[in-house]
This record gives sequence, C-alpha cells and structure tokens, in this order.
Amino acid sequence: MDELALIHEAQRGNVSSFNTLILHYQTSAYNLAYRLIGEPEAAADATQEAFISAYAHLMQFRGGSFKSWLMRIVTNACYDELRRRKRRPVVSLDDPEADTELQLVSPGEGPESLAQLNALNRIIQDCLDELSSEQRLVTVLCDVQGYDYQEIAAIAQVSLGTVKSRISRARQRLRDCLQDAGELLPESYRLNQRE
Amino acid sequence: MTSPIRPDDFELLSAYLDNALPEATRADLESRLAAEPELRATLDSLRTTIRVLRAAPTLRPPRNFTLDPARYSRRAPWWASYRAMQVVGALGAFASIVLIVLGLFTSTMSFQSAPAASNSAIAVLPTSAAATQNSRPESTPTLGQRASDKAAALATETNALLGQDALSASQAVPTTTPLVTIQTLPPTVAAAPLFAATNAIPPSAADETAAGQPALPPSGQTPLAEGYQPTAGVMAGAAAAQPPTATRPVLKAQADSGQNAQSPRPAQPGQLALAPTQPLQPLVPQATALPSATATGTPGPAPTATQILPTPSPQSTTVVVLAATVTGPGGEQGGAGGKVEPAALPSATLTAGLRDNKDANAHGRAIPPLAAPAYFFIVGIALFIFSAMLFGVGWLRSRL
Repeated sequence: MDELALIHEAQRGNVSSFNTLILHYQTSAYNLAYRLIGEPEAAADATQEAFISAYAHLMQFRGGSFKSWLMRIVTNACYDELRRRKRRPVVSLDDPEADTELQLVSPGEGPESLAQLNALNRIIQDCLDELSSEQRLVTVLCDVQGYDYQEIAAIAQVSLGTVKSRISRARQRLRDCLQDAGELLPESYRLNQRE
Repeated sequence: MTSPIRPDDFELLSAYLDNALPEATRADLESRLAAEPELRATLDSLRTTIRVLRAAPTLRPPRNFTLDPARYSRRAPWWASYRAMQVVGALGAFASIVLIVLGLFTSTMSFQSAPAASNSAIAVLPTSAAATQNSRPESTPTLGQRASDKAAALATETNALLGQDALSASQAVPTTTPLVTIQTLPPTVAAAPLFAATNAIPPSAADETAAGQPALPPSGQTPLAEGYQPTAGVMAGAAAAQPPTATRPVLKAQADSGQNAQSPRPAQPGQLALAPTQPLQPLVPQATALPSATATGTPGPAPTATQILPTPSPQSTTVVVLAATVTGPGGEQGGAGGKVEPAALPSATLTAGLRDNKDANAHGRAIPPLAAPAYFFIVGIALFIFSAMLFGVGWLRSRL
C-alpha cells in the first residue's frame, strides 16, 4: 500500500482512497479507543467520529507519520467522549459479562484459551480504567500498542520527559493493580504478591 | 545493604526497560541492580507488568468505519478553492504592489515633467525669441527668469519633435511674412507627423504689414480679449488637418521672404494658397488679426502676432498653435525691456476651435500630472485590499 499516494488522493477528495487507509488503521484506532474509553460501542462511535474528522481535516496533514496523526485524532475523539460521559453519566443496561463476547483478532486455540484471553483482557482494562486519562493514554500507546517515546510525545502532544514520567507512574500503579488481581490472571501472567 | 526504592528509581527502571537511558546512567543503574536485590525485584515486577499489558488481546472492530462515497465524495472542491484563493490572493497582492510602485514612479516622473509640460508654450519661446532677436536686433525681448536655460533646452527638444518641416518653418520666420498653405501629403507621410509646421510672425513681419492691412482677411478679424495687451507677438504654430479623405493635408506655414500676406502666391501643385481675399473661417472666437500701426510705433490697438491657421475642412480635428507674446511697455512692439510673461502665455495661446478636447494637450495645456498615478494608486490599493482579504480567508479556512 502506497500510503502517501492514498493520502494525496484522499486530499483531492477521493473517498475510496481514504477508505483504504481506514481499513488499514481501523483496528489500531478502535483498540486505542476501546482502551481509553473501556466500552466497545462508545469506542466504535468515537472511532467513527475520528475517521470522519480526519477526512474533514485531511488537508492539515503536512507529512510525517500518518498513523501518529490519525491516532491523535482518535485520542481527541475519545477525550471528547469521556468528557461527554463525565457530564452525563451513562448506565449501561448490557450484561457486564458481555465483554467476554468481544471478538478477538487472535482468539486462540479452543474455548479455554479464549476464556483466558477474555479474562486477561477484562483485568487489564479494569486496571487501565483506574489510571488517569493521561497515564492511560501513554501506557496504552507504549505497552499495548508498542509506540516509542517520540511517537507517544507526538500523539499526546507532550514532551519526552512528561512521557517518561507518565509511563513510569502508570506502570507502577498497573503493577500494583495486577498484583492485586492475583490468581484472576492466567498463571503465566501472575505477578508476585506484594509483601 | 539495600536502599528503599525511590520514586526516581521507578522512572529509571521504566526507561531502562524501554532502552531509553543514556549509556552512563544505564551503567550506573546496572551496577545498582547487581548490588540491590530489592531494586532488581522491582525491575522484574515492572517487566512482568509490561509483558501482561503487551499480552492484552487485540479486539476486532465491530464494523468497518469506511465512509460512504456518496455522502463524502463532494468535498473535493472546497480545499481546491481555498488553495486557489490563497494563490490568487498572493498573485493579486504582488500585482497590486507592482501597480503602486508604478504609480509612485509615474507620479515622480509627472512631478518632474509637470513644470515643463505646463510651460510648453514657454518652451517654444526661446526659439521664437531668438528668431525675433535675429530679425530685429533692436528689439531685445528677454525671457524672464522662469523661462531660462531649461526652457531653451526643452524648446530644442520640442522643435526636434516637431519635425523637419516645423524646424524649417520656424527658422524662416524672422524675415518673412507667413503664407498659409495647405499641402497634401501622401498617406504614408501624413500619418506620421502631427506637428507639421511652425508659423511665427515676428515683429519684422508686422512691420511689413504696417499699412494697416491685416494678415488675415477681415472676416477673420476679431479683437483680442479685453485686458490683454500684448505689444509684440511671436507665434509659433503647427497644425495638422485631417480631411475626410485618406490623405491628410497638413497646414504648413511657409515663410517666403519675398512675399507677404498681402501678395497671393500662386498655388503650386499639391498646395493650396490662401489669398487674403479668400475668406478664412476662424476657428476661434478670439481669432485675431495682426494689428496695424505697430511698425510705426503709433499707439493703436494692441499689437499681436497671433495668427489663426484655418482648417481646410470641418472635419479637421487638430490645430496646434503655440503662441508666445512678448509684451513691451506702452504697447510698443518690441520695446526695450520687453518681457515674456509666462503667466500670460496660456491666455495668449489660441486653443478654441478645437473639435476634439484631446487636442488640448497640444495647445500647451498641462494635463493634470496626478491623473495617471492616481489611477495606479487607487487600483493598486483596492487590488491589494481585495487580495489580502482573499488570501486571509483562504488561509483561515485551510486552518480550520
């Protein structure tokens, strides 16, 4: 995929080219939105809004990493959704166990593996939800999606030092959260209990 | 001996796990890790935490987030138009700057040339005055301080522009009485020069007509305007007449020392001699006749040397009369101490009778010097404002 050519075509108004970019990045965008918001439907809505906004402001893309630019738009859309939820709290009528029905990209082999992954996913998301939105963002970008510090600084629009300190504090809190989870985690992922 | 984990140690360990530590700091931390088991245990817990987070399953999006082309494909023109707005605005601003600079340049040139243009009649004076001096050394009309060297230089240029015919005619003026003839030139010749002749009546010519016979027929005589009292006149005229036919006859003042205005000259082939008895229709209400009794010095009507060049046909469009008047004291022609009064020159210039106002410039009237620069300024500033607004709107919309 020639990303730059697709971007130029999309800037000229070619929606099909932009849809190609969407199909390429929608999984990363949706997972980022899900880790930031914590609810699948709200994450899907935020992701859709982010792609629409990205297409509307595509002329503002001046080069560089298109993925970082796109993830920043997704992050802003998620922040908007979180602020909206903070003003008008939403009580979900869905079954809390519905998260187990999430479709995974790599569901694993057999139902037992799928159950472990769902349990791990739920515990991780619960621990991420305890973080502040800023710490959650840098942690998801760094430890979940594998961005380096420079990209995180570009997406979060903060300095490298801020990224380092936020990641450090987030990891410290996540370590404590995961230690508290204890045996809820799969055996291979269990941390030593705190003294 | 182990030390408790400090908050800074978490940041060091976190950066260490991400390979984001400088080499020296990394070496120090590794030496501490080797010596401090608690620090090493903390590092292991953080490494496991990261491993758990990276093991988080990747979720499949519940749907595709692609955009509907039917709904969003019409968005193409807006960005192109905004880009075009910026480009057009920039070009317009550049063009406006060019116009303003051109206006400044033209204004400067107009101010520099305005005195010469407004004194174009004066510019002819040196030649006429010189001719007067050549023909009548006893009369020493002197130019004022204002019509000095610069006017003389401009007069030379003017004569050069008038063409060879004009030069020859003006040079023949001092000793002759002008005879107005119409010479038909071939179209190729007549198309080029507009100023065809210079006709001047020096005081000597007026002396020759001292018998009270006007140079122009009675039908063409009209007193000068009241209050105007020239005592001696030198008139240089150039006329170009355009008949309805393709050829353009040009009024050419010929000076013939052996003839005066009273003696008709046989018409030459291609020339039309205007006899005194031939009624000449004056073009100007102020059409003046040469005064009489100027040679004898007797008081009489204010002498003048202004003469009207008749047009051969009603379709004539251009009559150029460059006039200068030398005023002498007591109404005496060519009196000692006579001075040219530049202020009186415009009134002495015969301008009426023109059927086209565009010819006013040829009469020595100065075009308002700021006309062209004003247009440049107005158009340039208006274009600059419009271009700046266009560029600003395009830039702002591209930023939104």
